[in-house]
Amino acid sequence: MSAKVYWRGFWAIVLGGVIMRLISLCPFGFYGDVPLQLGAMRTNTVELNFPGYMPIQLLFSVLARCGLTPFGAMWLVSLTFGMGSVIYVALAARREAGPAFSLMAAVVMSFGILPLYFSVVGATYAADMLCASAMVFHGSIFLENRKTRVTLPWPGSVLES
Amino acid sequence: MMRPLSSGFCCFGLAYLLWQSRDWRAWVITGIAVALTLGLYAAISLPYYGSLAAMYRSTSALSVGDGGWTGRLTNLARVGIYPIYGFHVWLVFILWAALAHWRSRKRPQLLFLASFAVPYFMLLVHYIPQAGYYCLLIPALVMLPACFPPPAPGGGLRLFTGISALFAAIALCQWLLVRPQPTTSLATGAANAYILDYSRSGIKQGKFETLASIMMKNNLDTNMIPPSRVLNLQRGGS
Repeated sequence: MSAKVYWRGFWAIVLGGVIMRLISLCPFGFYGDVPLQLGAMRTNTVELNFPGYMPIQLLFSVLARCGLTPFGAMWLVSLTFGMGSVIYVALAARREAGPAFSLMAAVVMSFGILPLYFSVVGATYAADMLCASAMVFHGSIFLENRKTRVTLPWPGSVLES
Repeated sequence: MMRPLSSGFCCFGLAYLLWQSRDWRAWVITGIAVALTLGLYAAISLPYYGSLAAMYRSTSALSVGDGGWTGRLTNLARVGIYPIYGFHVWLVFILWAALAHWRSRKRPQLLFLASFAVPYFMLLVHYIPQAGYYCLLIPALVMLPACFPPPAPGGGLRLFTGISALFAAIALCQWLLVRPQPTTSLATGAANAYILDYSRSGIKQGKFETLASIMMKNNLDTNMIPPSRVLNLQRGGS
C-alpha cells in the first residue's frame, strides 16, 4: 500500500469518526458523574466522588470561561481526547504491523461502540483512553529503540539516555 | 488528566518499559517526570480539598462490588458483556491471530500490553464494572493482534479490508439502529443497562442507569440487590 493511499484512507476514517460523533451530539450531561461535575463547576466547589477529577475539572472550567457552556466544554474535551486516541492507536498500529493493520485499528477506534460513546458523553473516561493510547504509541517506539527521549518545550532541549 | 487509579495501573506499563531499558538514566528521567507530575497534581488538587487527609477521605465514596460468589459472578458477567457487545468481530480476530501466529509473537510488545491491562482487568472483576472503565483497556485490545504478526511480511490486505468492513457495518448498526426498550422485567432492565443504552438513541434520550436503579425505579424484584446498594440508591446514589 502506497503512502498516498494509506493517508487518504486514514483521513477518510478519521473524518467518518468525527461525523459519527457530530451526529450523535449529546443534548445534556447525563452520564455517570457528569451532572455532579457540572454542578461543581456552577458552584465552584469540589462536591465530587473522587479526588482525581480536579485537573480535568480545571480544564473544563477554563474552557467554560472562554465562551463555551460548561457541558459544551466537557463535550469538546471528550471529543478531542477520543479522536486523539484514534490517531495515536492508528499510528502505533502502523509502527507495529504496517499500514493495512493501522487502517483496521483506526476503523475499530472510530466506529466501535465504546470509543464512540465515550467521545460524546462528556465523561472523563476519554482522558484514560487518550493517555493509554499515548503510552501504547510511545511504548512501541521505546521498545524499538530502547532509549528514553524527553523533549522540553524550548528549542534544542532534548534529553536522551 | 487521568483518574488516579487508571494512571496508577499505567505505571505498571511504565515499570515494564524501565525494566526493559535497564538504564539508570532512563530511571532518573522517569523518576523526575513522575515526581513533577505528582507535585503538580497535588498543587492543583490540595487547595480544593484543604488537606491531604481530606483528599484521602473523599476516596471513601468508592463503591466496591458485593463480596461473595454471587457478586463476583455478576461482575464477571458484566466484565464479559461490554467487550463482547462492543468488539464482537475484533475479539474473534484477536483469537484467530493468537492461535494462528503464536509462534511469531512479539514477546516484549505482548508483555508491555499485558503489564497494565491484565492487573486492571483483574480489578474490574472485583469492582462493579461499568462501560466507562473499559476506556483504559480499549487501546490495548485494539493493539493486541499486532503482537501476533504473520511469519512472512506483507499480504493480509484483503482479509483486513473484509474485517474492517464487517466491523464497521455491525458497529454502525448497533449505534444507529439499537434503541432502549421500556423496562418490564429483569431481562429488559439488564438489556437496557448493559447494551441498549449505549446507542445514539440512548444518548439522545439521556439514558444512563445501573440495573439496580432501573429495578428499584420500576418496582421490580430487588432481592438480587445487596442491602447496602439499596440503601445507597434510596439516598439518591447510582
